[in-house]
Amino acid sequence: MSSPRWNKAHRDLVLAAGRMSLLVVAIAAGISGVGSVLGTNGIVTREIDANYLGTRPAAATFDLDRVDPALVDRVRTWPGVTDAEARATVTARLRLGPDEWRTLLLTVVPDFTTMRLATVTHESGSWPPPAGTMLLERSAREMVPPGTLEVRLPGGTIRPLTVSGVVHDPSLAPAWQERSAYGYVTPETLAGLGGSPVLDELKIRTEATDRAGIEAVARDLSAWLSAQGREVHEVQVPPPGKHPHSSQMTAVMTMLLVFALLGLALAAVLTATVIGGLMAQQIRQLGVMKAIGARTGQIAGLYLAQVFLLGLIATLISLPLGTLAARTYAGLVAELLNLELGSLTIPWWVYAVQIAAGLLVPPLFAAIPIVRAARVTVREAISDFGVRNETVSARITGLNRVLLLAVRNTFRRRGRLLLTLGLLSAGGALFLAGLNVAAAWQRTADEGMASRHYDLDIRLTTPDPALTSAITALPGVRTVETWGYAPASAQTGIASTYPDGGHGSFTIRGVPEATTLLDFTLVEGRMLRPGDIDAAVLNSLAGPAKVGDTVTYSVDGKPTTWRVVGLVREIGNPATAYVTRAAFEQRVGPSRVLRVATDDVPAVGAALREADVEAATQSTAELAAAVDGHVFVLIGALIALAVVMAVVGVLGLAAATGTGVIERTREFAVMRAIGASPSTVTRIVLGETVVVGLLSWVVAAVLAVPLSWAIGSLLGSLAFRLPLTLTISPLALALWLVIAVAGSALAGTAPARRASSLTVRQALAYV
Amino acid sequence: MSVIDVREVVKSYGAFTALHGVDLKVHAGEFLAVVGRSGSGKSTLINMITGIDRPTSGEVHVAGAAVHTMSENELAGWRGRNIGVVFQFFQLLPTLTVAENVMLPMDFCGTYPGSRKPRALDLLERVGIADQAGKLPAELSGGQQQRAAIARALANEPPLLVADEPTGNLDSATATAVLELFAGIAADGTTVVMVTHGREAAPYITATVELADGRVV
Repeated sequence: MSSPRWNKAHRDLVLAAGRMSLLVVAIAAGISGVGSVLGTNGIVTREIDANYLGTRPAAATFDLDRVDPALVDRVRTWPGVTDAEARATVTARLRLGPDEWRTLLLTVVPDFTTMRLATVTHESGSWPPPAGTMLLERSAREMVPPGTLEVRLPGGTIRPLTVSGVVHDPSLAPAWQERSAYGYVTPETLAGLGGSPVLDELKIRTEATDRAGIEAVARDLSAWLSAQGREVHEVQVPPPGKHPHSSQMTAVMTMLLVFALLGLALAAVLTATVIGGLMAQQIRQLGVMKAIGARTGQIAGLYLAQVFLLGLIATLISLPLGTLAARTYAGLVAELLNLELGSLTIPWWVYAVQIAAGLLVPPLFAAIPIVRAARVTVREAISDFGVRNETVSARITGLNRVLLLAVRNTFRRRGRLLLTLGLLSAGGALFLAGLNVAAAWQRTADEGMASRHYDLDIRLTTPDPALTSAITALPGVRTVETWGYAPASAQTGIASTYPDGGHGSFTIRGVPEATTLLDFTLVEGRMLRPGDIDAAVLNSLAGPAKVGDTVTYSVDGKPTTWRVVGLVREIGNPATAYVTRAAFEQRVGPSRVLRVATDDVPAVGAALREADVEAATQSTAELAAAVDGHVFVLIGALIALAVVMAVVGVLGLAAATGTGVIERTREFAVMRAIGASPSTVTRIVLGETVVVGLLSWVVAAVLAVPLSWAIGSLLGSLAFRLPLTLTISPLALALWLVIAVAGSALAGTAPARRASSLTVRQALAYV
Repeated sequence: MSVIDVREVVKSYGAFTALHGVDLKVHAGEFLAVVGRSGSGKSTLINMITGIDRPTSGEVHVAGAAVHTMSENELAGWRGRNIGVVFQFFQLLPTLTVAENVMLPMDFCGTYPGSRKPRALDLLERVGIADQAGKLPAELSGGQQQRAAIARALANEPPLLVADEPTGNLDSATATAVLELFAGIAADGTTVVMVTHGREAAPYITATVELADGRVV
């Protein structure tokens, strides 16, 4: 490569080292972004499977009246069943402070030493847990107070329980996120806490690994169990082989990937702009090369090779950078999903994609301006004086002369203005969209919480009018309503609920007439009316269903049929069908949920304990914290990518301004010769870049609207099955204004200094 | 046999006609001066000869090739081998050394593989600036730069050398030296066509064509 033309290519790169470094940084940022998202996804997808499948999750769980060893043995030999085990799950309360309680989900395991289904990994302490102790899920370690715990089973009294060891259960979302602790005990320990030692869950694994196959086995088995005189309350088949959060994970990764790819495209466009500028600056050289025998392809090859080299350097930088970012982010995601990362190995194809993207994308984008410039004829090149006719800004008058010059200069190279403006605006639009989507997510979550006017949701095992009156009479309590509540499953009679009881669950709720405690946002159809007996209003997660559909849900094994009359938006609740309370009581069962609006949540809690009733409560504040816990990692990543976009946009402006100033060196010299001071020249150049910055703010603000809407729709549909409400964050607009103006001023500083520091002689001599 | 055969060439730029049916024949080894006032069509005529510009009508045959029928890319390769172009402002590439500038046409045309460097040095020797071979153009005087440009024009041993006011930017002593160099090149058998509006070339040239308002007078 030591031939003269390659020497030229090499020396041109060295001469434009400043601009070329900007390009390398921008391309490296783009490739690292893509690499870190793909790498994170590669690690997390693999580890989710390894962790979740490693627990040998049950394909189906039967909620029965009781499960004895003989039944388990019999079911193990059932056709299509490969293994079976008995369990029980009890929702207890755990005392955190004098008047602070939290849900404790206790899993009762008959024999820890022979656990083969839905297993946990022993991390420290004893195994199995001695009587009177429990093993704690590791993500709850920071939640529980030290020493002996105070635990209360539904309807029971407060009993002591010590933690004798720590386990990891990757099938559960982390405790801090779900606002609930998880413990594992033997039946003896549960009996000691005042619970029933009878196991009531039957977990099976099947030969079939697809939903239809598992459901077929589950249905047969369910029918047989009923025929044997067992009460089958519910059959749960969660999505086979899928972690409870895997669909949200896919949503997040898809969106981050879209952003990262746009960032890379932005960097590639920036490269194309700068190389185009470089060639415009060397137009005479191009003409001379053609005059002495260079063909278009040879010239294009020279510049494409330069871009290729920049891409290569950027790739070399971004491979370790992307790997580091991917591993760091995978660590955060692992914490979010309660995963143990067995390996941080990034799949080889992620590196291949990064290398291919780094080596191919910049030349591909740059090929357009390079080929166009290389096609210039000798005559055009030799007679190019760099000044074009300008009509747009000539009409702008009435400003002071320096500002006028700055504004007119901005419009002079219209092609370059469009590209620069496009770059900065695209960066800005992505930045704004990132923050808008984050705000929309927050707002959607907040609105979901704001529509709940109750502070406590109390699930009683039996209706208790005396308790209701007692709570109503408490100081601070504003409203108490009685709601119907029942876990249900879709028409097949099989629920897709995960073992934690929350993810994938489906409920029917009986709404009291004229409720004041929950606002519904109607999307389609109508709300419930008094006297509705078979009408149901579904929230978005309960779909897919249309108004007018007939739906069947089984509650406690008993099918009930409803007519869908309306669809509502709702955030933070699992799939729910709302029916009138009258209909609920008539067709499902008694209403056993109290919803309480109060200023004094602990007082209600105390009253519940005094009344000694069996109840599970969840405060709205805890629910809000749980919803927030699900999104912060996503929002953080969105903002990080938005910042990368902003940086690439500002780099683009800096590079384009640099090119513009070099092209006009002679012009600045003439200005200086006719009396302009260096500071005037500085102001003209800075004025130009700030004009571009301000224009980009406007364009970005406009572009961000459809972009935010599109991303919000995608993300909302994947996460909540409904689009996020379009939200324009005023903070984001203000931030981008500051970044655009400050960034463009910064981008203009170096070129302005260069333009103003040239002496007249130097500048005129510059060819 | 004529190296250049221009037949009834018309060149119009919109409403303005730069050449009105010009005919010109130049034979091998001639040193032709194209003279005339500013705007008389001199540069346009030689742009027709080098294929830098295309005639609106008429034919241009140079070194046996029908230049007016060739595509841009065909022209580039053909020009590199058959015509040495010398510009008024030298137009050496600023980031290449003098020797590299001379090697560049061989590089682009794929000629003299393996012996480009010694050939470049020979050519620089011939134009009298072998000692400047390793320098960048900016370190050279105007006369030296023009000599380097002439050496570059000779790189592929073209049958025709075309120069557009090659002495326009040089002092008279240097200009004379450059003209002597051209005369020597023509004497060695290379046809030289030179645009000039000075009289100082008169002692060296073998033929003159004068243009006025786009016509040969």
